[in-house]
This record gives sequence, structure tokens and C-alpha cells, in this order.
Amino acid sequence: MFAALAYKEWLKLRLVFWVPLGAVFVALGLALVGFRHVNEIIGSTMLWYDVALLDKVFYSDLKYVAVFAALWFALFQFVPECTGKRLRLLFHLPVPRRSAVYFMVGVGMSCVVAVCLVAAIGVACIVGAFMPVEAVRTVLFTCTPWFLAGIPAYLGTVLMIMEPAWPHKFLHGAATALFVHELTTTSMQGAYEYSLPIYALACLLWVLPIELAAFRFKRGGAW
Amino acid sequence: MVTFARISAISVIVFVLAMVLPGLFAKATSVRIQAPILYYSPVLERFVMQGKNGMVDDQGNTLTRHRYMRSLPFLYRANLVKWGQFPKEVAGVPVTSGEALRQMQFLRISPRDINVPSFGLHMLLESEPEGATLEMATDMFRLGAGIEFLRCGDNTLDREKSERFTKAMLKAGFTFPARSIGGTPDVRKPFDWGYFLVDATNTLFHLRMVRGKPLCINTGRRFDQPVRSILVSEHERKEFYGMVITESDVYVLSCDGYKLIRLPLSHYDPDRDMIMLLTSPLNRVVQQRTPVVVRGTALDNQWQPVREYSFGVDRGPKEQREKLSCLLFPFKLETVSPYTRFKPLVFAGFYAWPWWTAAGVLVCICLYIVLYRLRFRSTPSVWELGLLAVTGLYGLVALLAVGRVNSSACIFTLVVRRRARMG
Repeated sequence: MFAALAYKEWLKLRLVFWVPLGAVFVALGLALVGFRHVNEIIGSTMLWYDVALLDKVFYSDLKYVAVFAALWFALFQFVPECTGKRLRLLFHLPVPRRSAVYFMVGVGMSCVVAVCLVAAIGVACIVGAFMPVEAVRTVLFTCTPWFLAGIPAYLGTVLMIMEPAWPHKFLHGAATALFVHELTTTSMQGAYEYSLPIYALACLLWVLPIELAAFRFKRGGAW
Repeated sequence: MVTFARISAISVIVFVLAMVLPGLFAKATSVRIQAPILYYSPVLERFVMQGKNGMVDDQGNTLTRHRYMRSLPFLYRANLVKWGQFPKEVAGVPVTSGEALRQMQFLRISPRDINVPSFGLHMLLESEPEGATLEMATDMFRLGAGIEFLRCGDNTLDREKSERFTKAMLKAGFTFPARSIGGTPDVRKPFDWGYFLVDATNTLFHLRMVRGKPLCINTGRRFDQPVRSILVSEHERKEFYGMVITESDVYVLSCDGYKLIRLPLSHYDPDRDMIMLLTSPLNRVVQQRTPVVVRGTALDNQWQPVREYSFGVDRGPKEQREKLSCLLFPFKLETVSPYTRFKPLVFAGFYAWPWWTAAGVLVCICLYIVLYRLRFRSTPSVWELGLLAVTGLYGLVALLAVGRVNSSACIFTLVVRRRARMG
């Protein structure tokens, strides 16, 4: 049965998967252009000086790619399911409700993680081409909260789509937006060095409420 | 499992509200508490300041604007020169306006300068350049088991230079790894003093590059406590290299044989206190600014205290705001701090003003009970009331929004349904 569910997710995401990936490549391209331009025009020493000592960020276009990917995948996965309450059909399959929903969420999250991995590897390669490993490390520390923001963004969007009642939708949406904003707020490079694990754990808070939304959806809650 | 999911949904809302609301409240009700900056007047031989009560001295005497400026001839040198009132001598010492300008040096170290992310790459400038001005180096160095210079041009290791500098440092007695480093890689400064490093044995070393060659000097100064930060300030006066900040002290590092001069501070906390050092031709003034008190010490040219003065910061308006904040929010999650450039996520202020918080929590509990009875015609469970006792307003919003497990909609829908029934 999970093979069938996987096939369903494949059908939903096989074409749209490339759009966030394209966005990542555009952002990486812009970062590469930024690094190359500074390296060429004012020199490699100034590039190092700007990044390492003046805290300039030449890769800020990557800031919202994870959030965009999360919204994109969540919308394409769950809007068709929840329109006309089709998701309730899923709950009549011989698969536990929880497993079915979290399987779908797992597929979406995997796509978000894949996009973030591509972005992380890409930015590491770009920075690594111009600067030493210390710079790569700090840049990854700076980008990781932006990528982490993809988790609450994806789960929060799923919650918003799945919740039957509008107040729930609004509150989950607002809470998610505020937390995502917090993770993408500009700080010094490497500012999350010590608090990153705590923020990562906080992102996991969004996992369980999906079960509540699914339960309410199954029961047919509405206004 | 659904119950756990509900708790998790409530946690999400409590977590985000605790992160956002106290900050918004603080901004909405912000009050400016600006304790005046203390200056030592060599003319009056006492401290003077400019606060909300105007310009006063440390004995409470009010000063006119002109008298205030005349009492600080070195600070207001330009004004006094323009007015033709710059004194020929101050406290019996002949002075000129040029000398006054040259002898003024200001250093400040705040917690945000200490708690700052480090990139791990540093630039060592040539201390004795061929030209008249300092020039940008073409490489940067990092510290590990040795010192490694990396060429910016091709991002490769300069082995020869790295070995040369590592050998020079080891020869001077440096023990890797370095614990702390301080320097100012800025070509706009008048000259270069290189870097000061604290090695694994807590000993202070001075590293410079002179005509391309390493010059590493063991200062022989060893610290009992971990060094938190080193501030280097190249100034024409060349009296001291900068400041070394440890867990409980701030030292001025003298150019005279690397002597460490301990600044007169009281219970210094590098994570909370700001230190200012202002020099003039006749005095040095050390100012320790904590969240509750401002303490100034005037020192003579031999760094001996000549006068002390302190005053409490008027926290009255801020305390009122904090109490009101505690009434609404039993705790907060701090994601911004005035004391660090790192991004925190810290649980703080839980029941900081217990009676105020208890009152707020009680209102939330009563409100929830009333709404719950109206909506479900029963009383809420004990754990919900317990949650409200801990989370207050956050919990109230979360419980109302998330609703009961067996209820399709939250309590917010009550009003809508009633209206529908009436319609």
C-alpha cells in the first residue's frame, strides 16, 4: 500500500520538484556571480576581507529558497488532497491514518531536505573555491538556520491546509510565519553557532500537530 | 497520540508567542534610560555630567553650558579655541590645543564586543611598510597547531611563511593552540602593532611582521584567569597597546615593558558591564557602566586614583514596564540580547515579579474557566489549569486556539455559532 502512496506522491511532485531546485540554482548562480565579481573587480584580498572581517554576505539570495521549496511542496502535495475533502478517502485505505499522513509528510520533507542539501553543497563549493575551510564552515553555519526554516515552513503550511477550522489555520499560519521570520532574520555570520541545536529542536515541535489536524480532518470538522 | 499532538500544537503556539510577544511589548512600551556619561574636570577637580537635570557636577551644583565646557577644556577644545577661551594652563600645567587633541584617546569595551562570532581568519599587516601608509596584506592567517598563512589570490597555503612564523613563535616560547587573539587589521590606522595572542599556558605574546619577517615577543605576562578578549588600539600617544579583558578584570597593556595596569573596577562582569577609558593630557577616566550603577574613577598620569564617583541608574520607569510585562507574560524566550552578537534562544524571566505574574495567571485561569463553561458546559481539566499557571497568557491563547481534541473547532468559534443561532 505504501508503494501506491509513494506512486501518488511521485505523480504529484515529479514535475513540480524541479521548480524549487531551479530556484536554488538561480540563488547559487547569483552567489557565484557576486563572489566572482568582487574577486575580479576589487581583488581576492578584499573579498576575503569583506567576508571574514567586515561580515559581508554575498549569498543572501539563498535565504528564502528553503521556505519557498517548503511552501511549494506542501501546496502541491496537500491542496489537491484537501480540496473537496479528498484526503478522507486516504483514511479509508487499509493503512493506519497516522502512517499514511506522515508518509506523505515524509515525502515532502525529503524533497525539502534534498533541495536544502543541494543548496548547502552548492554554497560550500562556491565559497570553498574562493576561500578556505574556515569560511565554508562559517557560511554553512549562517545558512543552516535559513535551511532549517524549511521544516516549520513545510509543516506549518501542511497544518494550515489540513486544519478544517479557519481560526486554527490562521493561528498555525501566524505562529509558523513568526518562527520562520525569526530564523531568517539577518544576524552576523556564524551568530547561530551555539544556539543552532536548540533552534533545530524547536523546529521539530511542528511535527506532531499534523496528527491533530489529520484527526480533525478525518472526523470531518468544519465551521 | 492525538492528545500528544494537541499538547504539541499548544507548545508551538506558546513557544512562538513567548518568543515574539515580550519583545513587541518591550518595543511598544520602551522607555529611554540614559544614564549620563561622566567626565572628570581637571579644572574643577571633580566629575561633571550632562543629564536630564542639565549640566551638573558630582556635588549637585548646576553649571551653565559655557562653564561646563570650560570645565572640560580638552573635550571641548574646538569650541574653546573658537571662542578664544582655551586656557594656557590647566591645574598648573601648561597646555596647548594641539597637545590636547593629541592626548585624547577613547576606548570602549562592551559585552557585544566580547561575545562576538569569530571567523577564524586574521590579517597580519606589515608593521614597517616601505610607503608612508599601511598596506593590505595579500594573505590571511589562521591558528591551530601552528600559524598558517593562506594566500588570498589562489586560496593556497603559504608553507614557507607559515613555517617561518610558527618557528619564530615557538622560539619565543609560544605554546599552541592559541586561546585568544586581538588585533586591528585596518590600513586606515596610523601605524601597526600587529596582534597580541594568549597561548595555551595563558601567557601573552606580541606578534608583528617587520619587513616581511616575524617578530614574536614573549611579554612574560601570564593571566590567572581565562582571557575573554584583547582590544588593540594604535594611537599616536603610544602609551598603551590596548586592553586585555579577563573574567573579572580589565588590564591596560602598557607600552612600557608590557606592564599590565589593572583598571579600578568593582565586581566587573564582562557579559554585562561596559567599560570606557578616556585619556586627556592630565588624567585618565575609567567608567564602569552596569545595568544598575555608573561608576567613574579619575586617575592621574601614573594611573593612581584621584577621585571616585558613582550613581545609581534610575530604573523606576523600566521596572514599572517590567512589572506590567510580568503581569502579561510569565516568562520569555529571548532571541535578541543587548549583551551578545550571537543569536540566543534563552528561557528567561520566569515569575520575575511573582505577585504580578500570579495575578496575570489568575486572570487567565478565570477567563478560561468562564469561556470553557460557556462553550462546553463543563470545567476544564486540571492539567489545562496547570498549563495556564505556568504559561499564562500564552497558554490561554494556545488553549483557546487549539481547542479540545474531540471538538472540531476552537473556542473562538463560540461567538460565531451564537451569532448564527441568534440569526
